[in-house]
Amino acid sequence: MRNFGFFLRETFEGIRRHSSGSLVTFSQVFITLFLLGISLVFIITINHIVDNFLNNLEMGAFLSDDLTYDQSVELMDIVGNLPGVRNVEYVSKEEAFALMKQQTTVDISDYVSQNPLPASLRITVTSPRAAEEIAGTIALLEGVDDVTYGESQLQTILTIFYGLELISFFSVVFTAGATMVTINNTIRLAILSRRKEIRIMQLVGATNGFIRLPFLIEGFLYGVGGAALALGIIAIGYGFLIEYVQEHYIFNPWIVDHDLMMGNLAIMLFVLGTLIGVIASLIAVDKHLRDETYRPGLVLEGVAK
Amino acid sequence: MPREPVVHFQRTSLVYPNLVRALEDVEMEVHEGEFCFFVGPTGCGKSSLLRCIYLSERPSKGRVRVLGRDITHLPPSKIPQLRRKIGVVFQDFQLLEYKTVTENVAFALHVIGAPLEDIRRRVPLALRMVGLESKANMLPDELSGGEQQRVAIARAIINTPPILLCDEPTGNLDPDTSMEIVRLLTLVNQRGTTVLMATHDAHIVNTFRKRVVYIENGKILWDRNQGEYKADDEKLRLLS
Repeated sequence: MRNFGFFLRETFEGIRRHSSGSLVTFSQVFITLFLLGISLVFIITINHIVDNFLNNLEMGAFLSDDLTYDQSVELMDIVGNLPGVRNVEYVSKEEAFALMKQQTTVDISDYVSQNPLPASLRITVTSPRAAEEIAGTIALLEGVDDVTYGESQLQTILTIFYGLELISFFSVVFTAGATMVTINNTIRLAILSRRKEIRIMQLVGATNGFIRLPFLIEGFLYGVGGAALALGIIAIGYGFLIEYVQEHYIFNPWIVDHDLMMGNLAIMLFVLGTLIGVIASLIAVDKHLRDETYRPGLVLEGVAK
Repeated sequence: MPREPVVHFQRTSLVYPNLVRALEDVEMEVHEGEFCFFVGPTGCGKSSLLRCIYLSERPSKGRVRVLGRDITHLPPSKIPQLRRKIGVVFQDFQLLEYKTVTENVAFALHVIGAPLEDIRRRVPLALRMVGLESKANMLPDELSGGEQQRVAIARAIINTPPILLCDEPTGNLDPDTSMEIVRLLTLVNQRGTTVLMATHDAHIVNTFRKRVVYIENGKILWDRNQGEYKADDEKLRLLS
């Protein structure tokens, strides 16, 4: 565009002349985008936990004690070929007992005279959501006594996670709305303080598109600037959080890789910041232009068409 | 065949939403190259008449034709094109106080997307015409009222509009400066621009002896060409 330099100068000149108002807006936009960013981190983490949980969902098929090893291997083949089953491992009675001993702090040999645990098949599935159907099929196979996959816990956990996700989603929508109102108000104030300038532009024949552009650039800058600062602070904070958690806890299934998290967050914050900034400015400036282009006189009867 | 008037009011009325009648059945033509004073007491409708020309107001009834085109129902998207052909000067100068004289004048060209080389060439010419080349880098606050009005005139004519509308351009100026400003407007007129000026200064009207349209209560009471009215006309005398 021929006069893009002029637009940019006008925009920065406008921001500079109303620097205190611009600073307040920028702070408000930053705070709201920061809160939005925190909500997004929360949503991304919940999604990550749910995915992790579902992908590592294991099903246990307990076998009859009278099943021979060959019969168990045959059964393993049948289960392995079922649709939706990713992997099957055989766990013998002895392995199950050894594992149980490992996971308890007391020696259970003191309490039981013989190994009470059955042999089992440890099954992972490709689609956790189809777990119930696969469990039903395996339970019908001969030699399988019982199938468990923590169905009641799975439902509870999924309900809690989806609930949290819903709350986060609404907090994102609410915060985005609040950001939009903030930018809209600021641009309206900026427009009011630049009424004369707009009036002169209209008088000398500037098109509405031309008048709009500096305000749209201003809204865009608030959105992008607020998003960049919010992202920077969240990135530093998240970095410290990961470091702390990794130092103090060995098992951290909920940690999302820092770069992956910030990459996702950057896209969301910049897109949301830009859209919110530009749309809020557009609404404010268009309302003013609609009101100010001309004042229609009261239409009398018989007006010439 | 006679040329079409540059401004033609055809039984034009304007009633504001608060029911104030600003213009009533105005029938008038202004031809290319004319210099026309609109006179009358405050609130008589002079400014409303000018505002209907650059469509700051839409007439309630009748038509307004400008430069051969009926603008009565001109869509809002076409208004900028109309305004590029009309320069407007106000009593309160309407300058941007944070911009220098040069920037104020160049602003009118920037906002219509004129090429930079064109702006650099035309602004000094306009400033020379209004006698302000030496004050090009000053801010409006550093200028006298007359000089500020000269800047406003330079901005209004920089795009060489065929019509220049002046709404009480001397209202804030002392008598000597007022005469200088009208002399400048006469110069603009001599270069081919049709000038329509609203004023209630009888001294100016009597000194420059151009066409005079007298308006009262939104109606044209009389419309006389230069030399056809008497300087001591009672109505004009009442103005001062």
